Amino acid sequence: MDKIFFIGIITGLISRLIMLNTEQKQYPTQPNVLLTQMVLAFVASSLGSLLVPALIDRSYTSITFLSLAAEQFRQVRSSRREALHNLEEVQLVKRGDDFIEEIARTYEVRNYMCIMVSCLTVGMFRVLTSEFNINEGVAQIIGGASGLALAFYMRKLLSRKSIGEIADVVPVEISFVDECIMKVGDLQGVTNVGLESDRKLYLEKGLAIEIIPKDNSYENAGILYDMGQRQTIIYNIYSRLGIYRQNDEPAFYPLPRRNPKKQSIMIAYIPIEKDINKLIEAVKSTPILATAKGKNISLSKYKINS
Amino acid sequence: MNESLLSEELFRRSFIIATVIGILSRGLVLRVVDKQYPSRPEDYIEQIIMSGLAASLGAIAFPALLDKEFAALTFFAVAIQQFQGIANQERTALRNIDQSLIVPKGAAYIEEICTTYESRSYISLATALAASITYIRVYKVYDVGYITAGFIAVIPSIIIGLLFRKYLVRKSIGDIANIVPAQISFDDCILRVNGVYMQNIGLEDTRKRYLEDGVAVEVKTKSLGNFGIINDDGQRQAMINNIFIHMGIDKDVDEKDILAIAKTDLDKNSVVMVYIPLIKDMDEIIRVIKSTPIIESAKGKQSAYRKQY
Repeated sequence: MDKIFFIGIITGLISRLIMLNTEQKQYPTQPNVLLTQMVLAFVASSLGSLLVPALIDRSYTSITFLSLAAEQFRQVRSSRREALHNLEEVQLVKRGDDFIEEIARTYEVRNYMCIMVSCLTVGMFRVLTSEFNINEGVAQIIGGASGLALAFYMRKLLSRKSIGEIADVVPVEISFVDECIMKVGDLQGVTNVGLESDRKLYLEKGLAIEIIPKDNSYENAGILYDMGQRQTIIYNIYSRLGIYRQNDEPAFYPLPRRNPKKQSIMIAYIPIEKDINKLIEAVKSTPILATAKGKNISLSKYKINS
Repeated sequence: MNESLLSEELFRRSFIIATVIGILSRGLVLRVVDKQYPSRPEDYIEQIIMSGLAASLGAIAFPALLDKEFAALTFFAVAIQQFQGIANQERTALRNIDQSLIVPKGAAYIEEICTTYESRSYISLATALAASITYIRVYKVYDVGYITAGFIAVIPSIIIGLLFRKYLVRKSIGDIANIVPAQISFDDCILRVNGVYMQNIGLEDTRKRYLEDGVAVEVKTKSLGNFGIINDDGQRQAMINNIFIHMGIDKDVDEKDILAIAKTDLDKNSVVMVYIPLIKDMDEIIRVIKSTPIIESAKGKQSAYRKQY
């Protein structure tokens, strides 16, 4: 086998590895998942590197294995979706369908990325040596470099922004009006908390924040408004800070609600430990879902009036 | 393979040129998609990969045929299954996401999006096939240089690409209907738009909000033959979803009394809608409704009226 074949596999694997970092930050990776992902990345990269030599040998049927690979990766997406769906039942705070779709799609796309990177590496090498008569050593270097360049470009393209980039998060007060109606900041009527003891717990241990879209922009407000995005935010808080709630206490389930005056989102939450900075940090680090984007697109000429 | 009819160089170049043309032709229609429902970087990559796959299949078909590698042609079957797989995957994803949308897309709109995903892959396949046939024929028969043959190969691909595009570009509601502002009124607690019953609104506060911030429009088709399109429930839901995507809605999850619904004015053969956007901008709402794509499943309804009027 050619040296370039291995270079192709290596660039493909590197492209997957550099994406792994962001992933770990945003939702905890488990060792088993990590292993399967690396194996898949290896398969994807070797398919990508094999493609060009196979075509040069005119083994026409070999192009079918590309289709097979694409089928495989879609399967990865389905199986991730199913696994996460099954987990939903036993979560104290759910991920929500939108977040699950986002994660599953990411798994699929990242495998495609490996194929693209390794295929470009080997393809570039072949084109350079056969069309431009550049010597092999130089062509290997250029091929490897172009593969890596694509890998880093894709990383930039695919990296998700987080809530901190489109919104400010500020602490607000929880209070109760008319005895049992919860008021968060200046938003009245978030929910009705009947039991005296529950209200006391909210006042003592609860924290509340307001997520205000930056630049008074309706497009940022549209992202926060999306129900899937709101669920992702509370899931992220839950996965970082835990929740002070038994699995049969509906009164403490966090309800992110919209404040119509500022188009902001209000959340009252009872973490295990009362630390507002950790809470703000958790909200800010929540990834923005692709499906939440692209709302309110006609309102770009307007600003939210405070 | 020395017994091949094509020299290695010819095969390589025709393959590269045809694949590139195939991918670019997918780019030609990608823009249309972007305008009508927002796409995202992940989607783009998936689409480009898929078009690369489709294009390479198109590019390899003719050389395989020349070499009498008939078994290789089964990959067309595999490819079609692929494209259907994409549509399926997209359908599942969109359905799952639709559940948490405040104003859902509706089944008909989702189906429309999925079939589009599928059919657009065929563009890459067809243009790449055309390019590779032209390239190889031109090169062999007329004995022109590689570069000239490459340029000639672009011509049929452009023609096919444009034909597909012309054929596949969806018409929008603005092409078949006029949209005029309508009147919201309350008959005690019954919300009416142009006199058509919409819903019973119990709370005094909500009624006030409708009168102050609500907008109502009437969608009137230019001819009775097209009335079937907007009378289709899926099409109406697509229009409402389009308003939501563009204008937002002044409602939170638990405010059940703020509606985004459309009803038919059966006496006037038009559709009336009531909506509370984030910003009351009538011109923009009319423009948004006009830009809603006409979905395929809505076409051909009530077609008996088409000839008479």
